[in-house]
This record gives sequence, C-alpha cells and structure tokens, in this order.
Amino acid sequence: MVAVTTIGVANPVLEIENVTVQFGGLKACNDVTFRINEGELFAMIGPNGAGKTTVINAITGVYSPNPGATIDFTDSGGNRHDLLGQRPHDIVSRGIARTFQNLALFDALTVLDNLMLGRYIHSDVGVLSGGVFWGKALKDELRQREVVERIIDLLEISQYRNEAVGELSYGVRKRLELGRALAQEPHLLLLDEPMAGQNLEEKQDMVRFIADVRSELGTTMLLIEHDMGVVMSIAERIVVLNFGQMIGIGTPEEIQQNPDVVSAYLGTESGV
Amino acid sequence: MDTFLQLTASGIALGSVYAMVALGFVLVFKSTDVLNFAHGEFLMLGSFLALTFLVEWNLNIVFAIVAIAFIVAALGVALHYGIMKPLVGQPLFSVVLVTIGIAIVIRAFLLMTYGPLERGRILALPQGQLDIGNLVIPYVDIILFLVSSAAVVIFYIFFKSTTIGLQMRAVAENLEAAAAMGVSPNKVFAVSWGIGALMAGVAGVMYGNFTAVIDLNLAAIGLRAFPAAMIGGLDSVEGAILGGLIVGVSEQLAAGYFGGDFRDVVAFGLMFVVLMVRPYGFFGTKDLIRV
Amino acid sequence: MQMRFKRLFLLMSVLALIAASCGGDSDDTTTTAAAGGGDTTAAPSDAVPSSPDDGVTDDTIKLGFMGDITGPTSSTQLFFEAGIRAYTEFVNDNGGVAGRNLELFSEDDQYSSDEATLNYTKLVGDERVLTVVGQGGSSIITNLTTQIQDDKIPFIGPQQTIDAQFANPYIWSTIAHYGDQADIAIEAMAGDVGGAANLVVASVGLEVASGEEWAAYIEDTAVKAGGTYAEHIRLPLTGADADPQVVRLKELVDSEGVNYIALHGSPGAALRLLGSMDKAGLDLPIGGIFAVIAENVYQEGPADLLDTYWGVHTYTPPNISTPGNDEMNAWLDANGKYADTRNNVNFVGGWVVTKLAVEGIRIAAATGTLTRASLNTAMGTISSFSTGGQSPDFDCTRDGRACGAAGRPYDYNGTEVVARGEFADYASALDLIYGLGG
Ligand SMILES: Nc1ncnc2c1ncn2[C@@H]1O[C@H](COP(=O)(O)OP(=O)(O)O)[C@@H](O)[C@H]1O
Ligand SMILES: [Mg+2]
Repeated sequence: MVAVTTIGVANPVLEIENVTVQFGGLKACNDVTFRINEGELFAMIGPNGAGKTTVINAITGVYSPNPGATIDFTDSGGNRHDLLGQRPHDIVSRGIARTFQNLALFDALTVLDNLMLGRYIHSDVGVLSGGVFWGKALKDELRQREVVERIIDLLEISQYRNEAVGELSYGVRKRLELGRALAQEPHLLLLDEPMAGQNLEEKQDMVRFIADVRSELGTTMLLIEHDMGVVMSIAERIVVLNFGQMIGIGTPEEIQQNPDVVSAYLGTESGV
Repeated sequence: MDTFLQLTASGIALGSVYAMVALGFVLVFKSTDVLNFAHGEFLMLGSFLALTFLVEWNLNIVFAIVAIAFIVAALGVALHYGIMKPLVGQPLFSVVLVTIGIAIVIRAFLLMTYGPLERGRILALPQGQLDIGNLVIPYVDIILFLVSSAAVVIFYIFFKSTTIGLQMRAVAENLEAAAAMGVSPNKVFAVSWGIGALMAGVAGVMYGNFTAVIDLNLAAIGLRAFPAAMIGGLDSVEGAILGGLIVGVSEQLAAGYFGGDFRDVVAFGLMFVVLMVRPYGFFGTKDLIRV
Repeated sequence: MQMRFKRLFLLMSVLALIAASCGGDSDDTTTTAAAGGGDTTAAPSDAVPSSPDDGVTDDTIKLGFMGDITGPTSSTQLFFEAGIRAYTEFVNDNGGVAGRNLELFSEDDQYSSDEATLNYTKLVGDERVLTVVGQGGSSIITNLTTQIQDDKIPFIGPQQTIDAQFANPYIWSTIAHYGDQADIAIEAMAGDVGGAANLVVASVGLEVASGEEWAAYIEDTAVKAGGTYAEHIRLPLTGADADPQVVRLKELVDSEGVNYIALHGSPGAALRLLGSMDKAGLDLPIGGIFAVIAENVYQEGPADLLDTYWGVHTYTPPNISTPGNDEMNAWLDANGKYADTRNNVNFVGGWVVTKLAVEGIRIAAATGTLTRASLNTAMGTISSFSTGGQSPDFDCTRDGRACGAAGRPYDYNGTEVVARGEFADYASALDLIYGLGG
C-alpha cells in the first residue's frame, strides 16, 4: 500500500552501537546496535518495558548510555555528529525530532503556539530581539507561520488552530504532536507509538499522514509501534527488543521467520 | 468613607508595587522551579542604587530606572549562570538555601557600601498631591501606580506574544518538551532570572520614592511577594498581579482601621484563608509538578 | 501533587521565618585596645590582685559588649559599640585603670535572642569578662535577666530603658526611664502650646512592649498635667510607610483637635512617620523618646517638619560643647579616629556608659579587690558622678531608678542639634512614678 523508494547507495543517518542504558541494576536496553539509512522507515518493536523508549531517550540525549556506546548522526548536509554527551536541545537542532509516547505538548498553549515552538530551531532571532515585534523578528515570524500553516493543512487540524491544546481529544493531540515534530523539518524523525490509544479511524489517518510525509518530504523515520499489521506493512526494516536485548533485526519477512522473535514476542501476539 | 477611600488609594499604589514584585517572584518560580528568597534583596538593591543614581548623582529618573533595571537584570542572569545553573537537579531545599545565601551576600554588600543608617525617601518624582474632595492622593502614589502598571503590561505583552515569551511559557509548562523543540532551558532560565530581578529592581526604584525610609529592612517588602503570589496562585502571572493588589489594599485598610500591628497579620492571614478555600490560589493550576 | 503542594507550602512558611529571623553570619570581633602602647607605668598603689574568673588578669581588665552590630538595629547599636570601644582606647591611652589596660570583647547578635544567649555564655561564662557594658536589645535583656541575677554579673549602661532592668540589682541602667522621659516630654509640649490645658496629644509608637509603656506614661502624665490624651497609634517594626497611621492622625486632628505627637521609636520609625506626614501634608509638632534623635533623621527627613521635631535624651549629642564632649572630641581629633561613627549621639552614649563603668572599676580597685562582686558594690556607691555634661550627673544609689534619671529635649535648628535648656530645668517635671506600662 505504500510505495517505497529504494535508495541506491545506503547513506547512514543514524548509527548506534553497543548502547546500554542502566537504571541501577536494571539494563533497560543492552548492547543495542543498528543503523538507519537515509529515507528508510525503520521500526522498533517489542513488548512493554522492552526498552524501546529508552533507546529513543538515549539517542536524544535524555539518558546517557554506559561507556563504550556509539551514537552517530549524519545530518542533511552530510556532516557526521557524535551525539554522545550532547544536551537534548543541541541534538534537536542537528535535525532530530521526536514525539513522546505519553504526549508532551504544552497544554496551556494553543495549537498554533505549539507548532510555532516547533519552528524554534529554524528561527534566526536571538533571545533579545525575540522580544520585539518589528523588522527582522516580524519577518521571521511570518516565514515560520507559513511553514506551520502548511502542516496544519497537511494534518487537517485547521479548525483547532486557536484552541488550547489541553481541551483537545487524545487523537487530535497525537496528530498535533506529529505536526509539531514535522514543523521542526527534521532529517530524522523518532515516533514513539504515534497510534497508541487511538481508534481505528484515527490510526488509519495517522498511517496515511506518515506515508504522506515520507512521500512528500522523504524524511527518515524510526517508528515504535505495537500494531503488528501497521509495522509489517509500512516498515522497511525492523529491530525487535525483549527485556532490553535485541533478539532480531531485518525486513518484515525475516522478522516473521525469526524463531527467537516468534517464540519471545510474536508468538504471544495474536493476528500476526 | 473618606478614610476608606484614602486607605484604598494608598493601598492600590502599594499593591501595584507588590504586584510587580510578586510577578518577578512567580516568573522565576514558574520557569525554574526555584523559590527565590533573595527576591526582596533584589528590590532592596534597586532602592539603594536609586539612592546613588538619584540622590547622590542627581541623574534623570527615567535614565536611572533604565540603568538600574539593566544592572539588576544583569545580576539576575549572572546569578543564574554562576550559581543556579550548576545546582540543577539538587533538592528543592538546598536550592532555596542557596538563594538565602545570595540574599545574605546582597545585604552584606549593601551594609558595607551604604552603612547602617536609615536613609529618607527619595524625592526624584514630582511632590505635591491631588485633592479630590476630601481625598488626598500624592502625585508619587499616582506615578507609582502608573509605572508599575506599565511594567506589568509590558511584561504581559512580552510574555504572551513574543517568541521568547512563548519559549518561557513552554519551558514553564513542560521542560522536556521544550528541550525537544531545541529550546535551551538554560537560556530561558537566564532570561527568567533577568526579568524576575529586573521587575524587583524597578519596583525597588519606585518604592524608594514611596517609602519614607530606605534601609536594610526593605527586603521585607519582598516577603510580601509570598502572600501575594500564594493568593493569586504560585504559578500564575495574572494571579501575581491580582494578589499584589489585594495584599496592598487590605494591608492599608487593616492598618488604618485596626492599627499598624495588623499590617503583617492581614497579608498572611488572607493568604491562609484563600488557601483554605482555594488551595492553589485564585489562578494557580492544581498540578504544580512538571512532567 | 497535593502532597508536593503541601510540602512546598510548609517549606515556604518555615523559610519565611528563617529569612525573617536570620540576617547573616555572626561577626564577632575582639580587639585589645592599644595593648602595650608603651605606657606601662602603672602606679603600684593601683595594684589590686588579679582575679581571672572576674576578667581581671595581670595586665588587662576584660569588658564585654553584646548587641546588634550588623543586624536590623545596627543603625543605633553600631555607634554605641564604637563609643564603648573608643572610650576603652582613650583610657588605655591615658595609662589604663587599676594598673591595667582595658580589653573589649564584642559579640554581635544581629538582634537575635538565640544568638544573644550564646554570646552571653561566651562573654560571661567562657571569657569571664568583669562587666558587660552597653548591652543592646530590650527583649534580649528581658530574657537574660534571671541569668544575670544568678551570675551576679554587672551590666552597666544598657542601651534601652525598660522595666525589666529596674528590678534587677545587677543592671545599672543609665538612661532615663520612659516614665521620666514622658514627664519631660509633656512638660516641653505644654510649654510649646501655651500651657498643659491646651495640649491634645496622641502617642505613636512601635508595636513593642516599650511602645505600650510609653503610651501609658504619656497618657497618665498628660492627663495629670491637665491636658488631653487622644489615643495610641501603633507602627509596625518594619514595613512600608506610615500612611494608614497618618490617615488616623488626620482624623484625630479633625475630631479631637490633636496638636502634638508623642513619638516612641527608632530613627527609621521616625523617618517613616515624617515621610508619610509630609506626603499627606500633615504638619504637627512631634516630641519623642531618646531614640528618635539621630543625625540621619535630620539629614534625610522632610525639612519642613523637622523644625518642630525633637526628642528627650539623657546623653548630649557630640556637637554640643560640654567639658566631656570637648575632651572626647579633642582626643578623637588628635587620633583621627572613628570618623565614620563619632557624629552620633549613640557614640556619646557608648562613651559615657563606659566612663561610668571605669569609675566603678576605680572605686572597686581602691577597696583592694576588683571582682564582679566588688564592682557591683562600688557601682551602688556612686551618688554624684559627673560626665562633664555628656549626661546628667549619675546617681546610682537610688533603687529602681536609672543612674541618669533625667534628660532634656533636643531640637534641630536646621543645621545642628541644640539642647533646650539644662538637665536641671526639667528635674521638677519628674514625678518618679513608674510601673504604668505593666
Ligand atoms: N527513568 C527511569 N528510571 C528507572 N527505570 C526506567 C526509567 N525509564 C525506563 N525505565 C525502565 O526501563 C525499562 C524499559 O522501559 P521503556 O524503555 O520505557 O520500555 P518500552 O518503551 O519498551 O515500553 C522498564 O523496565 C522501565 O521501567
Ligand atoms: Mg515506551
């Protein structure tokens, strides 16, 4: 159902090696190693508590992995960055955007303001001039508004534009969070269970949006998702985590045939 | 009735200063989660600097306000980078103790620089008064109210409709999400400390023209930011403004009708009453914790 | 979240208290005044045996000071301490006393009772000073009064004058009791308005026990003299302004015809009242207790109100020429000392009470023993000690009265403080009735 453009030369966007994040005695993820290529939709699956979100948090600088890990990111200009030890807001400005499993929107702000905050890294006004409303600052604001309006159209949320986010339904908020990440125009997009907690129709919308984004913008994505049907149909490659361990990596077909995966995870799920 | 109006008028002038002070206090708390116990000292610093600028050097008051605002704001930013930033993640209590330490240092600095003797009211504003029937409103009170209102309105516009204001609100609401937008919390913290200190400093300049005595007890005015902020809601900008006015007016009324000793009682008494009825203040959010 | 809110709130309340009560680190200073200044020719006849437990060593006599040097009331106490220190240096420059140099141990309590209690133990228990001179803080001395009685340590010339001091035989108060000051103030006010019958006085005072005491004496004295007493208006210890109090005063002027204010307070309180009166356009004459006379009130207060602003004092401000002040000023000039603190009536206060203490030490030493006990006995024999006009002559033989139970009003003439008459002029006004304040 999705047209996948295969890229001739696989340019890596994200390369992580031996990423172990430990909370006290618990290794939330252990020696996780994979790479995501440019334009790829790479999925991460595994039961609850497997360490999926932890991997995203390690990539975005929220948690620091144990020594010996590598997290390298290649930005849209082809520059390679070692993300280890960088602060979350610095990593974001390299071109990595994320959504949160449990939503992290600014509930008291409007939809528009939430999206405008997504434009922050692309705005070139400083702390002091950001406080004024004329000249450069005004022009910049108008430019950012344009991008935001396009996203509003794409995600079909224009009727909520000026509403406070806290008032909106869960489905719309999930969509808005995707929109806010898109407003960042990331080179790599990390989506943590974007369809969780939604009804069928909303899930289908979300799949459609993700597909649109890929076809229109070609954004590289790391997707965490529970719905196997969705994952198998849209992901090009999949990594499977179980209790922090990688138990399989490969194309959907390979994963479905991986005995470890089947016994540890897929076997317990119905409908695969 | 005359007495009532007279006291209310004076209370509004005083309350507008409290509003400014509470606003700065709330802003710092809202953005950085720090209860700044040096806030009153920022105000006091503003008043003492006003003595130097206005009384000793006889400078223009507008210039003095701008210059002092700048100095105090710079101090706020410096404090953030120098002292508060390395403390991120420390328990609330230790951070609060550090702000008390800052307060002590500012006091000591003022004591060494200006000596222990009380100084009189600064007479840099037009003196005289407006007579409306039996009501006497000193010009100073009117100007005080106007300047405080202007400061509050400018801040409000800044906070609500500029990019940096938006970032401040974002950081205040959800630090993690703000960082995920690429907003550097530290920059926003620094700006919050700067503006918080600035509000206190400007309040201090104005207050120096209002109060009859400038001495090291002025920091107590900063303590009024607590009941004002608690009444309004510790994390609400609107609440700080309202709370400041409520405390100012009720304080003058209580002192006028029941005696000066009720002045301190009423601010905190009112706070307890409000907190019993509305534990989060008039405008505060129930959920003071951040995700 | 509810929990967190409560904890936050509790924390705030606790910290508000901490912030209010602790100003900063205590700053204790100890100096040996002009020790070993070459002038060691002590007359052998002065020689009394050492008594280290009473602060009398082979070559020094230890004096203690405890008060607020860097805290909220430092604007008076700092100067008092400087005056004490200056006088010890003056004595040492002139050959010491009882064949020894004086050594002053100063302890700063920043107006905190807890700190003061510690300081008391340090001075009286550890350092074993002979006497504590010029202690400051009325609630502090109230707390310490039984302890002083147990230790039998002479407290000479505390800065305040409250009832608790007068019942204690080891506290040698110097400054006139509020009852005396009220007598003098009412006499002066009556003179100003053409007779006590024309006087309608309202009292304004800080909201502390001594403020209530003052109000009671003013009321009693005014009424007995045939005048009218309106009411007592309280000023908070710190805080904004005196606007509400001035609103009330204006009402009293309209309704009762109040024509004088009897003021209790500090220079800060006086400035607050004056500032608010000035802002509201209320011009009433003000006569107050000793503490309202201060250089900074004259320099910083509104000029148009100061011409009718005065206070009763037991000590003579340093600019007024008397033999005692002349001697003090000459020594200060010659040594170029205390430039920052000498132009203050509290400096004279510190100087004078130390002078009295040294007189006591001399008398005690002459008996052959210099101890806390002999000093107490000696103090009780001082019946007419002249400070050279820096105060009334001290008479410490009268039970329940201050050694300096007299005073006179001081006016401000626009450039400096001037005395209104002699101490003797007001002697007849003193009714010697105390105890109204409870
Ligand atoms: N901040 C943290 N502190 C302690 N344990 C954590 C923390 N974050 C995650 N964990 C633990 O790490 C494991 C992996 O969690 P997570 O990455 O959220 O799993 P998933 O996203 O796969 O459901 C879980 O056992 C979780 O409880
Ligand atoms: Mg997860």
